Amino acid sequence: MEEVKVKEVLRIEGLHKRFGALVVLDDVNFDICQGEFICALGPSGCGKTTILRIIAQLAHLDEGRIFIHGNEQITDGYLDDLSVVFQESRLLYWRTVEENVKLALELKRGRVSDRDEVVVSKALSMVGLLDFADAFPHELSGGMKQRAALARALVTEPSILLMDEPLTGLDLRTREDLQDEILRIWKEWDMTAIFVTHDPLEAIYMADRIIVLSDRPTKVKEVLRVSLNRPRNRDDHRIKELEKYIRDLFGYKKLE
Amino acid sequence: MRAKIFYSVFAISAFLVLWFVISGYYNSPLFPGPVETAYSFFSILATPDGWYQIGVTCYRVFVGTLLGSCVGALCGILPRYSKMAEYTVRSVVYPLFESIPSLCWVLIFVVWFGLSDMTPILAITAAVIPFFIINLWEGVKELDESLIEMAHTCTRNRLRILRKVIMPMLYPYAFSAFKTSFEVAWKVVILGEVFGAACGIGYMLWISYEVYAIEYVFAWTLCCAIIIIVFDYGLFNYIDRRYMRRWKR
Ligand SMILES: Nc1ncnc2c1ncn2[C@@H]1O[C@H](COP(=O)(O)OP(=O)(O)O)[C@@H](O)[C@H]1O
Ligand SMILES: [Mg+2]
Repeated sequence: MEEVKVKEVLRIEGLHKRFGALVVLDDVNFDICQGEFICALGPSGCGKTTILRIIAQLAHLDEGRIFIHGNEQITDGYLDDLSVVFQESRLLYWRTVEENVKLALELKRGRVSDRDEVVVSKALSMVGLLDFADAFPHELSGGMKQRAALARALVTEPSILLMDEPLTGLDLRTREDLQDEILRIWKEWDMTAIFVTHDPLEAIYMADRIIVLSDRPTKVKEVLRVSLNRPRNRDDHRIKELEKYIRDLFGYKKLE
Repeated sequence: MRAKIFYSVFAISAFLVLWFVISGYYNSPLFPGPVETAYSFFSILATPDGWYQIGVTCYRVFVGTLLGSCVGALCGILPRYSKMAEYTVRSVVYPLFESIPSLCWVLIFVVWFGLSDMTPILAITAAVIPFFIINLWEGVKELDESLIEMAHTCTRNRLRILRKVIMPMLYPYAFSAFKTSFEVAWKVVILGEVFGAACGIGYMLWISYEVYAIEYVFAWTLCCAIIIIVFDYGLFNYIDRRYMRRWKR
């Protein structure tokens, strides 16, 4: 295999995090390269959300270092370059879908211009919600809410997209549709993506590399490269094999 | 709908008839009936001065409530950002405004400001502050932190988050504070004007009373009642249906 020089976007070294007496992260290390799709896979409660919150500067780390483009200094520019999709859609219930998407721009820049109408429409059409621009969140299904949240994350044209189990709780069909859609957008927009999940199949289907996390106190158990060509076939036997391999890593313990 | 209107009309007519019969029975200038009251009421509305007095009182209610809403909103929201503010509001500001009767404020302000706009306005302000504090506290307690966290991923500018995410979440609470405050303000403004002003509905009530023109006391009272009803059922209901729908989940 030829060695391609890839640019490192994010490196995490020796991450420790406690909540009181509860040690959640106990020396977590990994890195992410430019344009990569990374899945962080681990059992419920192992600290996946905590890792994302630390990366997004929503929580402090107790020990450890985060490097952005090889630089430890975290600038405002870094935050501008990053968007988060949460497990719950977190839409403002008094705003329509379109206004919710616009919110990200209003928050980031303080004001929106006429040109932004176009950007908002583009983000909405990207996730297939153009027809629902004037709907309120409570009028949407779970899948559509997540589409709206995705549009809100995309409208600022981030280069790093963090997703925290965005598809958990959706029915299988919606999940698979959205998985494909997220992959399509990631590819089209040339983003670096970190996607958190507790579902091995989802991780294998989506990721370039899977960061398998252990139970609490959490370490990186293994980093798996998924070298299947895209677009992947869900029925591919190698996906099944990888899934079995991952499930064996956790023994008989259920991941969910 | 038809039945509703019928019952309302019936109840109002019954009230007027009862009033008419009782006042007719006593037949005293100290208990004017609906006819005399209506006559005085329309004679008030027929003069520019009548409208001026009503206007002055409305102005005081408006300014007093607005002032109270600013102070009350600050005292309700600041505790979210500062422990110092929280304890100041909790142990000084709120108890102070909550416990002191409006009449005491009026008397104090008369001493300080004499017969002027300031007396009724500040009395209203003092009276409505606790309603804003208590409602906004409730609102701040109920804030959806997950939405605020989401906003923090978009900006580090806390003022923007306050304006775009936190304040809108508090609108329903501010709205209900305005509704309650408005009713309270109308009661306090009359008190303030009786003791501390040289014009306004309260002042006119006082003069009418001094010369035993009880039909005018009734007529001015009717003015107050009508204004409150118009605002409460008309304006607030309208705002509620037109603008607050978005906030009802
Ligand atoms: N703010 C917090 N305070 C106290 N404990 C927390 C907090 N956030 C998370 N935890 C705990 O840390 C552990 C990991 O949480 P989380 O990162 O949400 O896990 P995951 O997303 O992998 O399910 C859980 O046991 C949770 O109870
Ligand atoms: Mg989680």
